[in-house]
Amino acid sequence: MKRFVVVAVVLVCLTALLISCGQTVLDWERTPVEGIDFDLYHIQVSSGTEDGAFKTETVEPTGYYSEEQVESAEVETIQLGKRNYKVTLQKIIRRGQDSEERVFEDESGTIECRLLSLKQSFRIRAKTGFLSAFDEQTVLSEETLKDHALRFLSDYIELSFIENYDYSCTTRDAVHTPNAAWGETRDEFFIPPTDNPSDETIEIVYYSMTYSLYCGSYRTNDYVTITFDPKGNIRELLVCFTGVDWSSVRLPNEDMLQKKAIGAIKASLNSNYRYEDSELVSQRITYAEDGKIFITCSYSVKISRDGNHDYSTLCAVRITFDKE
Amino acid sequence: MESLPSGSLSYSELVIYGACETGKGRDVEENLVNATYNAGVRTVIGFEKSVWNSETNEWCAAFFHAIAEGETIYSACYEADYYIANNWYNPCNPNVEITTDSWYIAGEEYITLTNE
Repeated sequence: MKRFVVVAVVLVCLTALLISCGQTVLDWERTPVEGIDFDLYHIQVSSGTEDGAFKTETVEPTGYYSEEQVESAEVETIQLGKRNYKVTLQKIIRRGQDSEERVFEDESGTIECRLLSLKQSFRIRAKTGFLSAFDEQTVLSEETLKDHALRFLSDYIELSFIENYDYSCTTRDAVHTPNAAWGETRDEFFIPPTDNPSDETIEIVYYSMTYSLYCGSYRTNDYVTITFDPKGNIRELLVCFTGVDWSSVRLPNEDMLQKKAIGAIKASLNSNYRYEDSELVSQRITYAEDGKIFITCSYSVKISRDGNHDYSTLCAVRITFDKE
Repeated sequence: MESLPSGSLSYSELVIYGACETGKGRDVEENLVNATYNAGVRTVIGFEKSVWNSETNEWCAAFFHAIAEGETIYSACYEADYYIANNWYNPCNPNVEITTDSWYIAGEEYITLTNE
């Protein structure tokens, strides 16, 4: 009995110490979705144009946004994955009604940490320099970059955590010609050819690797993104974890949802505009902090006015699943 | 735009089209950016993709903020991209993909705009 009391007291003291240090006790458990009827949903269309084609209002993708600057010199310790950082709170960003982001700066002033209110989600970014250097003796390739990413990531999360995630890599570059320039994002790892015969110069801006969890063909907001500078040094890590067991989500037939989404776009056009065609740009399923789940599909929609003058516009269709 | 006499916009330093597909086809196709550049504007910017209005408005605000800080046109595009990437990600509300990263510049990209 006496031993039990001692253990209990030690546990209470440890817990109190953790709380007093401001640490985040991480919980990577996933729980099934409960209380949502996936046969009950409503569809909302937001248009990306202000020319009166749509009955709906122009989309505001980020919605309400505010920043609160915090004047605090108090150093606290936060835990991001497996790592601890000594930081001071700089500001609080609020998006929408439920989403909050606390922005910290580490003691050196070179690293920014953001704690997102979505379960265990955080972002770390090098304000100057990088978070992890790429070995200069190693040849830069997708595989060596991936090895670097996974070594870095293992300092924050168990790698088994992303075993079921889909991997993708993008290259952000800028192309310069004598009279023009443009930015482009390639869905691949890309190194500009050294013997480029054209007058184009391609400049790598950054590489990005993302591990995403899918629910059917919809990308969820469970993902991990690592961003590198052109030399392979890691500049940024974003870990988004909802805690949702997506295998418990029973979505209606996806083709049927697509048809209903297109139908909603057609119905939202004003009478002198006609739907001609559309192309799906992206589709995601999102778990929000208020417990709601919604699918967002972006379409590039071709419409015509009074039977002529075809043009394209963006439309976001949101399908929200209601609670029972 | 094509009906304008050649060089009729040659006193203009910079035009930005914050609208969908104004730079579609970049430097190899006819588009609004190239037509405006051919009318004499020193530098014209548009977008290759369809873009969201509110995102484009914020991109333009960040662009002009960078221009006011003395950045070149290309650097200002880069700064505006960075602003959008840094402020528009939100895992709870991923309504849309970023679209303004498809900017296209016709003309001089390494100039700064100063009050003279």
